[in-house]
Amino acid sequence: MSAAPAYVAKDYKSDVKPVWCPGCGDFSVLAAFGKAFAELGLAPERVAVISGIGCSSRIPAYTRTYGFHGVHGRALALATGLKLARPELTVVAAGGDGDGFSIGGNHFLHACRRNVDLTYVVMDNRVYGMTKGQPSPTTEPDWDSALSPGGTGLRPFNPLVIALASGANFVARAFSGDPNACAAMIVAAIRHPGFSFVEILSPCVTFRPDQRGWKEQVRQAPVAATGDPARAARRLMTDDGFNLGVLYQGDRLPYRPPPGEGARPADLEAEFAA
Amino acid sequence: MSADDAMRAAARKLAAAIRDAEDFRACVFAIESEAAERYAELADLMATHNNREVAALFRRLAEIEGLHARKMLAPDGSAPRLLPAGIDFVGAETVSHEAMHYLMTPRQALALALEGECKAVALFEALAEGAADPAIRRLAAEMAVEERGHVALVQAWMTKFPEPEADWDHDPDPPRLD
Amino acid sequence: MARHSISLALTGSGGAGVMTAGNMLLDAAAASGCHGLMTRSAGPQIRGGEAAALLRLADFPIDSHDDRLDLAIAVDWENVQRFAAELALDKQSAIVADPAAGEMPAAIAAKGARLLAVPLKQIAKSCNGRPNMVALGVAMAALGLDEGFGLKAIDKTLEGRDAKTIEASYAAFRAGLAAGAALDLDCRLARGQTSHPSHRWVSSGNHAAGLGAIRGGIRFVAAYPITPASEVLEWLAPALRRVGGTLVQAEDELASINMAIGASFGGVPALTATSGPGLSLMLESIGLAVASETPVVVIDVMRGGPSTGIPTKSEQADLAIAIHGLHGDAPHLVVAPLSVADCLFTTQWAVHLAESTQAPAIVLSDQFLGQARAVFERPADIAFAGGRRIETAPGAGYARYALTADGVSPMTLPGTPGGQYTADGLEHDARGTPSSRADDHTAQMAKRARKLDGFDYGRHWAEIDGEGEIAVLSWGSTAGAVREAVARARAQGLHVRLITPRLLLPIQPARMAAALEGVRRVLVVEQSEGAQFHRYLRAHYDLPKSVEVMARTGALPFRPGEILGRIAAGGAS
Ligand SMILES: Cc1ncc(C[n+]2csc(CCOP(=O)(O)OP(=O)(O)O)c2C)c(N)n1
Ligand code: SF4
Repeated sequence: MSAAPAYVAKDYKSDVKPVWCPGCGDFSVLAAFGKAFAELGLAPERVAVISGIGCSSRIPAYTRTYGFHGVHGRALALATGLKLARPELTVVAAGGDGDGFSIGGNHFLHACRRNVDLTYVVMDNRVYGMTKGQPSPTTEPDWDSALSPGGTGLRPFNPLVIALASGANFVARAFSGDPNACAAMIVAAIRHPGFSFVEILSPCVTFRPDQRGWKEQVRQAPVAATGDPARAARRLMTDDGFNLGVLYQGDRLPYRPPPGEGARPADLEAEFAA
Repeated sequence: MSADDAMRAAARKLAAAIRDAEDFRACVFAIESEAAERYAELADLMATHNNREVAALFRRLAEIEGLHARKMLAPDGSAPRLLPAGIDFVGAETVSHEAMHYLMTPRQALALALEGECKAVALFEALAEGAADPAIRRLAAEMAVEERGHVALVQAWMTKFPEPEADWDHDPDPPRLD
Repeated sequence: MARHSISLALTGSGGAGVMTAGNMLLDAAAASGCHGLMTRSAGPQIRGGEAAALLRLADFPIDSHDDRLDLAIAVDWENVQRFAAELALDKQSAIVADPAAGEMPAAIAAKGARLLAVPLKQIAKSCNGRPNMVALGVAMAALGLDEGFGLKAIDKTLEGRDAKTIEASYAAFRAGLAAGAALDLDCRLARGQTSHPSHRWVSSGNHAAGLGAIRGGIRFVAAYPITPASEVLEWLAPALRRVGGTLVQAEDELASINMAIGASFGGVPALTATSGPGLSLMLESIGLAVASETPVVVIDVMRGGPSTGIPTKSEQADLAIAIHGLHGDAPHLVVAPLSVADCLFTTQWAVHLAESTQAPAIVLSDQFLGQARAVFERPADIAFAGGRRIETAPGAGYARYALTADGVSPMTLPGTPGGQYTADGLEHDARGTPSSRADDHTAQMAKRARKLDGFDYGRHWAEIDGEGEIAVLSWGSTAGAVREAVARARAQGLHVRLITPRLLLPIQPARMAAALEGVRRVLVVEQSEGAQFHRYLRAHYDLPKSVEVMARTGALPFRPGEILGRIAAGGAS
């Protein structure tokens, strides 16, 4: 007889009704969060989901964990502050590709580099959903939109390569269409020490109805996770963006602030005396 | 991997994990409960998006799946034992969020429900063939029969609704008017 | 005749070590029971630039420079004309210079000060020491300070160095004392209110602010380096480690403020420090702290603006952005220290206010307060009652943003079962659920304003002193010169009030009206070309008909004498 699981997925769902469009991939990511937290047996009050702004960034309010829905692009900074101040919490940052790679791009680089024990889930729909369909850094160069007629003509940003190059300790891709696999990926990311980055391909059915076809395009990566950054880099550089799985799993020690020395504030006064 | 292959793989996993009738009950309970919860969620979602007809339909489906789940309760009303180790995420009969559309018609909604029931049939049939324990094989075969009944029911239900018009998803307004 | 206040400058270019000598002189003066203040001026070079240490020593508490310099000691003259405007020499001043350093620059010579030649370099060479130690000796002799305090200052500065170096410094210092004693200088410092050197501290405002933050309970700091705020961070980094806190160097100010907000959401009082350019970047997120009701303290050590401006000069021109910079109606706190020493109290108070009201507090320090080193009495360690209202046992109906009478809603911290909520910058209802409903918006706006307007700030809101029909209104570092000008005016028999608010936001109309009761003439003194403080006063307070404004850039600090001139001129009319 197996031990009673402490929690089930439903325990992590709040009673706030999502504003997402029916069909949006973010619903499955939300479901995957619940499944992953339950699988890990995390008490809801010991988890914090931190986000910026965007459709996907609405996710904290839909969970029954602690949450912070901050400003556009700053989720990783909020999450870093919280994790460093309260290392015993499980902190998950989440948001969209615009939030994470455009306005928040600098924080992405430095969060990877800093390697604090966080999990960062980006629901990548290659578009700005919330502001109604502008191209994002991961949008294909020829995708036509009102703001970029005929397409941006710009090479898309490759977040997995950037994460690897910047020092992320765990780099993976999942697809919202398979919430169980997403959940398993989030479990692995949370378990892995250091900064874990999971890109979840999560269709925007409203502004990118073409992405309903993603389920035919995604495939399991033909190789297992590697701990060799050079191999991972080669693999990611030739990747078409639809290979799913853990693509890199490193063993860098996570950043932790050094422990205190037990002094009292009054002990600091000596150096001021004349 | 095709949907059928996936179902067979899931069935193999279940077959390996299930030790006795109590485990079987627990698995069916989890599958049916999750499906019921998802229908309730979708009903809320459709209500939020002002698609009352489909919301009502999902609500009804949630009740039906809830009934199926409750059949697995012990005579004293207690839930079956917890899932056996190795069976984490179920989802065999759960309708996917990705298939939703705010303007979807009842017929489309029922087509999704039908897909779910067919998945369940495939799962139990595979289990009825693959389980080592004859008792489990018998229980699975019973469930397959029951799910086939659901398939027929949903199919009949579908005929009450017309096929969607060609432009069923046409919305003259742009998204969110703010 | 001994004098109550002596001002002197030590000048020299790269390698001369005039800053070190200046700091040692200040330490020696403090140890001997004097009060003092030291600021510096330096060229733009990273190394080797010309520099001036500007010191004022007195036998009474001082918070500003005097009107003029009594003495300048020039180790060399390289580019010293750059500071000509800051070196307030006149015919009564004395200049001690090394004849080997060449001719005095014309801009300095024009001031007509008496020149005394002392071969500083040669003396230093004869005892293998350095000219700055000779200059220190000359200065100590001129001031009449005891040799022992100078030796102690040398020990402190050279701690860990080899005996030969220390001996050579002693020798050069003693030779300087002898040379200084032989000079005819009228710079002896009197000993009036010199008291308990044991309670006497020497610190910059930036370090004092750091200690104030820790006294207030700050245990998390995230920041991005910027002049003139970096010393706050550099002091806090080891200090926080000692008391069990954390300091993170963030990738930019957008990250700093958000990391601080994240830590504070986790229940750890948090702070960031920056200057104008960084504050500009932080504004959006300070608004997030307002809306999500997360306490956080932001120290802005103001420098010359706009844009990159003058990083090494003081200015009081971030007042407008600190008060008005947030978009939307965003009630928050703005406080300003009134002296170097007050950087400690005001920062500690800001932490208390932010924590108690669950709102962001901006502390407007400035380059003068932050980087000046001053001698002052140890500030008392005040234990403020109150602090963050935390719910440790939330009931079933717990609502993070509940509408309470005083507007402050008890907050749960992550880890507390049953208290889960999502902090949000989106408008929300009492439970934190996003809402665009008119009633929620109105109620939450009112509550966020109420908690700040209704808070009892007590007597700390301002320093108010004296009575009479004339009032001088000022704030921040300028308050130091104003305080001295008012004291001198009173010594001349004028009745002058001093009103220097420490709390700039929320405004305190009733308190200000009481402070201004019976005042017929107001003089506003500030370091902002655009007269931001004057505009602020006009916008929020009823001023009497007669209002005069002394407003200029921060390039040259106010001197007590010029303010006194304005007080007296108006008083006579
Ligand atoms: C400072 C700032 N600039 C712009 C916006 C407007 N804005 C809101 S969400 C968003 C982009 C959202 O795209 P993404 O992060 O990809 O999330 P999605 O909506 O697709 O999930 C933008 C530009 C904002 N809220 N704040
Ligand atoms: S606009 Fe796109 S990303 Fe936003 S909720 Fe709708 S489908 Fe999802």
